[in-house]
Amino acid sequence: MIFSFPTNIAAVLRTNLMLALVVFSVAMVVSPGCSGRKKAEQAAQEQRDKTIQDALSSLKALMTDNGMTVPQKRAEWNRIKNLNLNHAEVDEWLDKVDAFLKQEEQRMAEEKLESERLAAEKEKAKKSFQNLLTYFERIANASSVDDANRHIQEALGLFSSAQVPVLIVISTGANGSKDYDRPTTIRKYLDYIKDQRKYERQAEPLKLDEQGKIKELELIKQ
Amino acid sequence: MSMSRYIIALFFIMGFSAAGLGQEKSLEITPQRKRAIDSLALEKVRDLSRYITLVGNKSTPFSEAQRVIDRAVELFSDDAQIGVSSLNRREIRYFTVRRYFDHLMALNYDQVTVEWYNIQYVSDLELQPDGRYVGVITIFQKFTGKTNEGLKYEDTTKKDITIYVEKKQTQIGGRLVDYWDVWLGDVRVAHTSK
Repeated sequence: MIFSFPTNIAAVLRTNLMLALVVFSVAMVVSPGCSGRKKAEQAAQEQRDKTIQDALSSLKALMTDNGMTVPQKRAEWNRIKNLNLNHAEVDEWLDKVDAFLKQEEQRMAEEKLESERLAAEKEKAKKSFQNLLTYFERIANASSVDDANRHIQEALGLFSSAQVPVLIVISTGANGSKDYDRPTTIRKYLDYIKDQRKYERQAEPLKLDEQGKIKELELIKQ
Repeated sequence: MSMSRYIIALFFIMGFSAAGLGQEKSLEITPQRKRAIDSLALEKVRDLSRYITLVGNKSTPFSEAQRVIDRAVELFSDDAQIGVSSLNRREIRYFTVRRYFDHLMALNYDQVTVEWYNIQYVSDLELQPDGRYVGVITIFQKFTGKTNEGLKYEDTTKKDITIYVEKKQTQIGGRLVDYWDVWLGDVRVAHTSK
């Protein structure tokens, strides 16, 4: 006896089987693609997390003395900023480091100005001493007392007052400590040059007042 | 006195001795510093020599001579005296520094030259218990006085000058500055010859 399904049941089964096959085929085709995207998304997320962590640790290091100069730190800050990570913590650190670097940049600018001012002052003091040495020489070699006194009056014009202290270094120790002769005043020292016809030719950088006049003189005995 | 009091007293004595030694050590100076101070003292004597020449010189204006005398006086201790000798008398007269210079200015010659030479230490600077260094520098002085009438007096005198050196401190421009104060004591006549 031949067993047979009713025709309509067989058709339903065939249809369902066909459908299952289609679904299976689609699943077989689509499933690997979906998993790859997820993996790619995961990898991208991991990469972003790593970038964020690197950025954070780099930003934190910028706040410390990590051996970088301030311009190098600013370049690194710009690099991280341009990553546009859109991450709250990174943004917070970007702001913190920016404020810190602005302070450092201002300090550097002030230091530069101060160093330029000191260099200008040093140059001015050097010129002033060269000028003073010319007077020392004129006083020491004056042809008469009147001539010497005239040069003394002119030389005193370089000083804040005739009572400006004059220190004379007689020796300097290995540790930089200085031994001085009894301090005198510029008036007395200029008279000394006139009387003794000799003078010291070296000096420490002159101390000048706001008007550029000498307010303290430290000579070095040869 | 109990034993413990003896021990305390002993500690006090040892403490004071150590402090004294410490002070003496702090006043000791390096050879380089010593050379600088020696040289400074010699220079003060040479400066004095120049002041004597200026004041003795009859062509030095009176006001200048007075100023120079003031500078010369500053080189000496307040009570220092300067000995003056002459081939014409045996006694050596001692004047205060200012009176010596006044006497020099008033000498009855029309031309006076005073020259010092062979300026050197005869007694090295030595540290004294009071913290000062004391030494003696000897000089030879050649004195020549002439009148317009042709009278001439000349002698050579060996003089010993006591030198004092002390470390002092002063305030300059708001800071404390240590310095070596060198000043001269008596100038004594050792001998005078023609």
